[in-house]
Amino acid sequence: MIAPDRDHRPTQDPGVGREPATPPLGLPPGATCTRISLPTGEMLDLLAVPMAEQDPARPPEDESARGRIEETVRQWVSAEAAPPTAGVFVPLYGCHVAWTTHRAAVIGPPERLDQLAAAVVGFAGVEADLRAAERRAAALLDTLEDDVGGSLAFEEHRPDRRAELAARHREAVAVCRRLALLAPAVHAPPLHPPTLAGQLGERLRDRTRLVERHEFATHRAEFAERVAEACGQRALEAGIARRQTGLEWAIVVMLVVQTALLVVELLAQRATP
Amino acid sequence: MNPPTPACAAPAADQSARQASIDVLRAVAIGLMVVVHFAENLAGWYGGAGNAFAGVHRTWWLPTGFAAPTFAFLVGASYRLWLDLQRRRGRSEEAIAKGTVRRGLFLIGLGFAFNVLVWLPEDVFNWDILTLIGCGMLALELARRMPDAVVLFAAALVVAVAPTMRLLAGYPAYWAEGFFDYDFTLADVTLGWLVTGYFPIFPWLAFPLAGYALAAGRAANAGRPAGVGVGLVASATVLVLVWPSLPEAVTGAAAQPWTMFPASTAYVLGTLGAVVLAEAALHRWLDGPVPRGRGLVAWTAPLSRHSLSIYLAHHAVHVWPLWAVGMATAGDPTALWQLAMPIGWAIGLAAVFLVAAAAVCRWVDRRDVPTAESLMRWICD
Repeated sequence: MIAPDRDHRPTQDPGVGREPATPPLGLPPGATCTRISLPTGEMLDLLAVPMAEQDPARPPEDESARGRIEETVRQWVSAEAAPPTAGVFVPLYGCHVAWTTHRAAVIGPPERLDQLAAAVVGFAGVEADLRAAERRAAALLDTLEDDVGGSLAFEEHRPDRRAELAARHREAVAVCRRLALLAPAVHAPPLHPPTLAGQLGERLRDRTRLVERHEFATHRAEFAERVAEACGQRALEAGIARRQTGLEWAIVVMLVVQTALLVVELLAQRATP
Repeated sequence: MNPPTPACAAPAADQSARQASIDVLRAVAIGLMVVVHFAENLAGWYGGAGNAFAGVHRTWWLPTGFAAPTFAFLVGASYRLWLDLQRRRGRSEEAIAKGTVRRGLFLIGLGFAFNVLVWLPEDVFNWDILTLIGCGMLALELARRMPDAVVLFAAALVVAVAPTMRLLAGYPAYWAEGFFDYDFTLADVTLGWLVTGYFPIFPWLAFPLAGYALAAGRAANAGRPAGVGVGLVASATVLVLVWPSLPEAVTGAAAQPWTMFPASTAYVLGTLGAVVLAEAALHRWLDGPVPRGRGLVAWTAPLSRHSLSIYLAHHAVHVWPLWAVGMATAGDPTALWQLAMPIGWAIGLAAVFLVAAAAVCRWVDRRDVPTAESLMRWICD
């Protein structure tokens, strides 16, 4: 069964559903944690910690407290880090952003938190979509050898096999389409004039190698689609040839029976019962 | 004189491809075969027909008429299972073709040798069931390259043209006093193989072909052909009911609708349908994921595994003594044929033979004693 596909709208809020969650301990009052449902169905816990910008003029104690908070946030985010993407930590204009596949955090002045959060959620939606497409493309490659072997087994009459190949081709096309829809979000040029959210998005894309991953996944999916199409074509041709062969065999059977009738008639005239 | 032999052993499928339902059905066919042969050859008893020499189109005692169709059908079904197993094991198509053709030729050769040794040399070309099964194996070698629908079409065609062929060949002229009688001429021998013998290609080849085609998907417990069986039995019933009003092209000028020699269209459809239904029912009962009828299977499987040996042995043990005693007492080997004993004694001896055969087959399996089946595998595989 092919998973229902979704269009990707970078301008749309990718967080489909939001609900409050409990922030970790040791954070200043005002820190909030929100559980966001991404378009792929994955959940992202987003922690927003309001904190003034770094200022060298402030007492060292304040800066030390800031460092502890950042460390706490980093550990909280890293606790959910999962391959293939390790945690990403981006300092940006006095703000800090941490992201893994299931947790993210923004630390910065209260007036910038919404922009940062929106940028992180937008990026997380694109990355989750890309990761899902990568998984589907990898799964397609895993079955390629069997598909090629099965499509060349002309002796076997396997209608179920043809259905499998057709499903695989549909899946390959669906993955290609998904990656094509993701392309504008992945390859989006930098905005001018630059904004904090725009720059954060660019840095997250760079650090997670989103462009290269998209390119590789597209290459894999297109390869799988080409092979699946060729396999399906071969299976289709084999099915058509089999039907034609069946007709030919039916004609041969009728000719043999007709010949037998003639032989019986001829022999009966010569027989001596 | 040429005693009829309406049943025989089929080459068994590979051990690991066996299914209990097929073993049980084949064992039932063996039981019917032994009873009818002992009753006919020792006591001259033909069951419900009453008169042993009722002529060419005599009606046979119904249960005995099911043995040969069952064997022939199971040849096709077993071959399908064996073929699927060989392909799963990666055996090449060429090796499968060679094995199939060798088995077919082996059975044809064995059939001729059997006719000479058991029914005496003048009956070498009586076209008994062994030669039919040998020809069936050769036909299956072709059939396995065809789509199943074409195989079923071929089977239907073979049944459909058989009455016309009998009309063309003058079938009744080849049957004297209810037995196949031919001259050693190319025409008579060929006609016997095609139409007029005991088990001619037309229409008996339909059984292995149908068995092969209907066994498709059987290993995966799919595609139960019970509906086909019901349809065949219903068709046979309709044919029997409307027989007098049917044209000669369907009846073959036979007065009675249900005859085994020749195999009337109603008989072929009815027995085929009954075998298909029986096989489907046994398959449902015995071949499921939960083993059932273990005791039944334990006794019938050895009989089925050695059906070819039993076929050869049961003729030897009851026909050869007849020839020997007849020769010794009256100077004619067939002097006691069908007159040796009352029917009760004959059926009792058949029962004794079956019990002994089951015990011997189990002993043979334990000791790995060479049999006709092992000889066939040694030569053909």
